[in-house]
Amino acid sequence: MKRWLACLLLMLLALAQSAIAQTSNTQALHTLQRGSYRQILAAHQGKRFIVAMWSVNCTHCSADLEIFHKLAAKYPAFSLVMISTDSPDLQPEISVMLEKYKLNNATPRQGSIEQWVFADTFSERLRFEIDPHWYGELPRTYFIEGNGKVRGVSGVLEEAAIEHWVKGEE
Amino acid sequence: MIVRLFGFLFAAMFAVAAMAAEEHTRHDMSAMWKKSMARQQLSVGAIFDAHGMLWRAEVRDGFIKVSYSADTGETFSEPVNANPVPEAISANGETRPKIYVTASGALYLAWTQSLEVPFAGNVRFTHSEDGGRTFSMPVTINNNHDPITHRFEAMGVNAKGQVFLAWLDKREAVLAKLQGRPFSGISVYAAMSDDEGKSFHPDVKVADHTCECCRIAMAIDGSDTPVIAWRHIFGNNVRDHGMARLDNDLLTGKRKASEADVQRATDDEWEVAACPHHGPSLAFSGEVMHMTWFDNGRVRSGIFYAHTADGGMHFSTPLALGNADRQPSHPVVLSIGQDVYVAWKEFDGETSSIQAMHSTNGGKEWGKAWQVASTRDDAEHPLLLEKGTQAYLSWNTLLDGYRVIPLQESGK
Repeated sequence: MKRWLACLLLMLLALAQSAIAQTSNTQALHTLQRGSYRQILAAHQGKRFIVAMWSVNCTHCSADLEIFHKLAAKYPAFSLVMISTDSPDLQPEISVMLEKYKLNNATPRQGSIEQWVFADTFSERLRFEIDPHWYGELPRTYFIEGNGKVRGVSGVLEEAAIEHWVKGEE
Repeated sequence: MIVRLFGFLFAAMFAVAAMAAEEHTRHDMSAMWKKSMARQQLSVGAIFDAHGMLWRAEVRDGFIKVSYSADTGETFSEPVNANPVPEAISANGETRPKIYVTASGALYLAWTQSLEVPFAGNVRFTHSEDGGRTFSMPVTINNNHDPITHRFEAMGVNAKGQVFLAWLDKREAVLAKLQGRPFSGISVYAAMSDDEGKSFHPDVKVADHTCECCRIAMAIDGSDTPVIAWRHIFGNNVRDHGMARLDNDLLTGKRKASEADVQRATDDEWEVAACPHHGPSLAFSGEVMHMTWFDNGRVRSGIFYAHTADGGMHFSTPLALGNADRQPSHPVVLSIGQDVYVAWKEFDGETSSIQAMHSTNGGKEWGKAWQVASTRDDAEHPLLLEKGTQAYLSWNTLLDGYRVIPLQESGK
């Protein structure tokens, strides 16, 4: 009988551990500070990728998150850098949104999906480093080509057009 | 026994699952909202009274703190709480507490109270009849009390002592969603007090289909009627500016607003589904209305000034303000007779500054822009004040505190 009980307790322990492991299977939320954006660009040099600016306070942003969720699942090579313009103390809320759209899974895939958050009270300075001509409207998305050419788009994206870009047809 | 053990096992499994679920809901949106409200409330309201006394409304610890300064902002009186019970008050970005002092010394205060539900709020109001020593119990002005958006209020007071409030209101959008009707954006509502803030007429709708997070601008025209401007959604999704004149018949409910009440004020053709957080500003010299705004459209992109003498039927050619490479943003306009001032924020990569321009002939010609103030960290949007014939910048900054600076063109 005791053996039964021990066995069950072990099973329970394993269950609890797997639950913990699951919650820590999410990737890190990097803090975007002065100079970080340059580092992001350097790390992706020669690659085609998308930089998506968003916020948990932006009523239009979840529509884009939905699109990225679909494309990330469909195209394993698609690389995405997501930057939340919120502050680091909103990490739990940011994580809830990313989890909802399955955009924070640390499981390795061919293309990378990175998560960043504004970490400076002086948000103008971070915005300026990213794009001096961006007025702060959200969502804001940058399509970056392998040769470094950048196209910035404000507002909710159109799924079909983004898919074309991701497939390299545009 | 085994059955009981399995029962125990299932109960334990359920407990683990429940723990995980609780972990999840603890990070809900309302906690997020509270946290963002607890952050630095940099935006302050300010006004000079008829005697040159500067009155300021700041938000701290859930209170609107009202104080006055006899030396143009150098020193302030001990602040008085305008609300007896602390509430989550929004005072950053596009939202600041509004304060008005009448010639006889009555004070009016309006602010946005944030609710637990994200984007939800109430427009709150209180007044003082004894020169700011005591305040009436704050009231919610929006008649709809659902936990939805009633935010971004603008306040105006005319020479007759009527008090006007206009705000962005989601009730029509919510109703449309419940009924399965498409509805773009939200609405503008307004309310008026005829008895010096003691009571308000029932609120009235001014227009449907507005942007959800850009401040409304209000100014009183030459015939004591408030005019408001806001970012409207024209057609499918063009976010240009609309304006409307809020006459007494509309505000007393004698007539209902129609689409004809919305006058298109800008034609920049910004077709976008985005949150610009960037509303307009208005001022009147008699019947001439001055307006500044931001747009990022196909026709025009940046911040602009224009004026109209016929209620928005015709505008002067929009004048682009600021250095387009320095994020020019949040322009405001002030008129003192024929003197018109505009001020806006710029950022040069290291420093945030307030730039200004001055016209001495009602906005027809403008002098060169000059820098009024700067700071090296976060700062609120600029606010312009008048004391007699002198214009001032009211500006709160994280590093350098609160400053009131006369608008004096360099070299003059």
